Order: sequence, then structure tokens, then C-alpha cells
Amino acid sequence: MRRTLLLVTLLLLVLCVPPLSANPGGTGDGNRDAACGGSCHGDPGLSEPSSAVLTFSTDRDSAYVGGPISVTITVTEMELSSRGLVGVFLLSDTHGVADTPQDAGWTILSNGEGGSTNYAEKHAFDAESGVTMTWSLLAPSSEGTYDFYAAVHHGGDGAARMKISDVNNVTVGPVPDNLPQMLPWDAMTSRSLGEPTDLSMPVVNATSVALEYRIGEGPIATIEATQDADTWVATLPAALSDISLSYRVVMSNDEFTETTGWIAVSNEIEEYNADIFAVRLQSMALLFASLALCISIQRRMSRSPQKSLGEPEAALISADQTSMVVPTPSVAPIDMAPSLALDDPRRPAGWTDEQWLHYGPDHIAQNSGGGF
Amino acid sequence: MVAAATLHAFSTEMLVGSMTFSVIATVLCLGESMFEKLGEKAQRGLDQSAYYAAIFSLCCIPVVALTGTASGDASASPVLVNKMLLSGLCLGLWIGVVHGRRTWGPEMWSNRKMGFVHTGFVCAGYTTAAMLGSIGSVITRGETVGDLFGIWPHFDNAPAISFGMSMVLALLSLSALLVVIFVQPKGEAVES
Repeated sequence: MRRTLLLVTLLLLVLCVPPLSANPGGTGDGNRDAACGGSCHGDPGLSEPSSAVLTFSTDRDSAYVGGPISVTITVTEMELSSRGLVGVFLLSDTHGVADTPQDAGWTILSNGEGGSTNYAEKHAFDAESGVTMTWSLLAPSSEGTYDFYAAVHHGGDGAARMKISDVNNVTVGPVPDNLPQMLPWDAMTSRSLGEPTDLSMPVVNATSVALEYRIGEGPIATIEATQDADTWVATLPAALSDISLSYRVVMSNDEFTETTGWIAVSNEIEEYNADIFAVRLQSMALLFASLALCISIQRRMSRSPQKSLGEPEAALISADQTSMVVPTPSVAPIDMAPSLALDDPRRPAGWTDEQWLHYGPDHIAQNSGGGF
Repeated sequence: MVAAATLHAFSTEMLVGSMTFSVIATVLCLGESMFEKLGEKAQRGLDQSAYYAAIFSLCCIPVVALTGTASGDASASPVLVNKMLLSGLCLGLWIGVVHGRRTWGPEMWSNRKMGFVHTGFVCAGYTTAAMLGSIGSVITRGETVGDLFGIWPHFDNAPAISFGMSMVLALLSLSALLVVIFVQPKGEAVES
């Protein structure tokens, strides 16, 4: 009966394990295919559908070859976990392999979160306001119509959830003559606090280049760039605290003005750097100390009092120092009470002879004024 | 090739599994020594199981530590520094557990005081391993089951001790260990 009860209990415990798994703390920003659903959220088939509404928008109707464009994805009305973490993908395909915009020839200048990846995570305050992410891209080097998908991974109502949007098209057209253009460029997306940053921007067909920056959604400040051979150089002022700074490049000539999307800059807080050898020594110190403590207690406890008494004879002898005591010559006891008669009437009743002989004189001195 | 992080996860699961087995068997042994419900044969079996599971765990700990060290740069994160420190503590306690059981022998459960002390060491070692696993969980998954307890430490800050002081600490603790091993009278197995 007991065994059956135990087996039923164990079976119930196994059944209590939910079949869904996810990474509630997120997996960090990165370049991920749509198949990330197989690794981040368990099997895609086991992920619950999301009620999220995915909105896809661009800052212009079409892009030129190699030209800038900003893509914004807004996710609202989704179920939210207690953490409110939402992972948003910008994908060029949904096959599960080579799905990133980079695989389709796009260059990601910024994901709006201080990186240049197609997947980024953000905390949502609530489902109504949701999350909004903007990718700043440079178009591929060949013309055509390109597909984009927005996808979202999040948790909510005790389940891992995911959703992929319908396809959105972006047309990449031929470059007009004399259009100011940014050549392939690794945009600066992070920097150390307190250091101004020199940006070298490879821009062609431009007569003036400006660097616009803003803190959060605040007012836009402009810095004119100076031409240095084939590049334009501007200095972005230092950030003195961990602020949300973003910048964009404005390229102009007599006919056109081209602007990149906003590129967010994350601040590299001073990195923690420990002396690994010191840490190893501390680890060894803890090992030795804890082991010494254990062994010491164990050895002490395993020696019972009887065992301690069975010490080697030498130990006992060394502890016995009576032989070192010089015997004093015996002195004949002074007969202190020759006149103290055993039948003395002052002797209290019940006292033995020995007590009377020993304490009697004091008793007489205290109670009878002395004198035998 | 398999990544060090994968090997680390594999060896960690082996370690935690065998350690959990050892802890449960040890606690059952202690319970049996107090309430005498299962019988001497069952207690002997539990004791042997706990002992050999503890030895297997002990073999896993260095593998876990080595693969963990190869998985990430511990110097770049105070959390990883704490993981290294706790690894040393865990290894020391668990060697102590195996040493204690080997010294006292299977009859140690007849002495209730020894049973409590041994179980205490086992639980201390397991708690340290649980903290290590919790740190790993926070690193990889962003949360830990330990959060359910409310008072579970997260170890976001690590002690900053210089190399010289670390050397002094290591030498002092090594001296203490050597004194215990070579000066303190050896322990003896409990006789039935």
C-alpha cells in the first residue's frame, strides 16, 4: 500500500511539471534566426501563441541601394510575465536558417538598444504601451523588393509565447545620381563614460555632413563634420553619466539631403576586473580551512573519553609530576589538646571524638571564653 | 568539439544529482538512527549509498570547476569570482564529508552526536553546491529557484582582497590543515 502511494505521489509530481520551457530572464541581445524558437523557447510547437499586435513601419517608403532606412516594430496587447521581458526580432525570412537582415545583405547600424543585432530584449511597462524598437539599417547593394518579418518572444499566463508577423516589403531602388551616401560603415554603438568620441564617416557625394545627437527623446543638437580625405570627422561630446544618447548622420549636397536612422549608444560602465590568481588563492584558502575544520572536529569526536584514558604510558608519566615533589621529613604531630578531655561537659552533643579533638578548642574559645 | 559550457552543464547535473542522492540517503540514515523504523539492513544500505554517491560527487567537483573556469572569464564578473570562492568551500566541505564517513565507519550512526555532525557537514556542503548552481542559473537564465526563499543571496559583490593578503590567507589555512593532519591524534572508527 505504501509503495503504491509513493509511486502515485511521484507520478503526480512528474505530471505537475509543465511541458513548456523558456528563458524567463531572457537570453540577451544577439543575431538570431527565427529558429531561435527551438532553443530559447523550447520547441516552437510547444510555445503558446501570443496575442501580441505587431506593427511594422519604416521612416521612408523605399530605400536606395546602400542607403539608410529605419524600421520600427511596435509590440502591444501581449500577455506579460511578471518580469515584463519581451524579445523582438527583425527577420528577413522565417525558414529557421539565415533569417537575419544581414543574411539578406542589409547592414544593421543600430538596434536602438545600444547594439547592432537583429534581436533585442526590452522590458514592457504594460501591454497597452508595449515596446517599440527601431533598427537603423543600410540597404543591400542590389536593387529589389526585400521581405521583412517582425517576431516576438515573451512569457505570460504561465506559458512561453511567440508570434511572427505577416511579411512586410521594402523596396530598394537604384541610387539617383549625386545622392549623398554612406559607404559600408561600422557605426559606434557603445563607448566609455567621460570620453568624447571621434567619428569617421565614409560619406560620398556630400558637400556637408552633420552629426545630430539627442539625449533620450530630448532636443536635437547638431555638430558639423569636417572633411578629411574620403571621410567626414565629427566629435561626439563625452557623456558624464549613464544617459540614453543616440545620434544620426545628415548628409547633404545641393540636390539631396539624406539622413541615417537614430543610432543608440550604450555606455560602457567601468568593467569589473579581479586578480584571478588572488581569487584562486582565496578559493584554496577556503578549501584548506573548511577541510581543516571538518577533519579537526571529526578526529576530536572520534576519540572517546575511554580512548583518551588509554593514552600511551609515556604521556601519562609525563603528566604525573608527583615524583618531582621533594618529600618533607615527617614531623610529629603536635598534641594540641592534651588537656581536652573527651568527657568534657562543654563538648556538644553528637560530636565525634575526632571532631571534638579537632574543632573543640575553637568551640571552647568562641562559646566559653577559652581555657581548658 | 563540445563547448566547455556544455560540458560544464553536463558535469554539474552529474554532480548535483549524485550529491542530492547522497544528502537524502544521509538524512534518512540520521532519521533511522533516531526512530529505528527501517531496520539495520536498510540503514546499512542507505549509508553505503550515501558514501559512494558522496565519493562520486567528490570526483565530479574538480571536473565542474575546470569546465566552469573554461566557460567564462571569472575575472570579469564579481558573480563568477564568488562562484570560484564557493567552489573551494564546497570542495573542502565535501572532502571533509567523505573523510568523516571513512574515519568513523558505518557504525557511526550508532552514535547520535556523530550522526548529527556528519549530517550537518553534508547539508553544509550541499547548500554550498546549491548556491553555486543558483549563481549559474542566474547567469544563464536570469533567475533562480532560490528566489522563492526570499533570503537567497545573489552574490553581486565579491570581496576585493589583494594578492599578498590572499597568499597569507592561503598559507595560514594550509598551515592549519597540516597541523590538523600531522599533529592532531588520528581518529578511529566507531566500534559496534
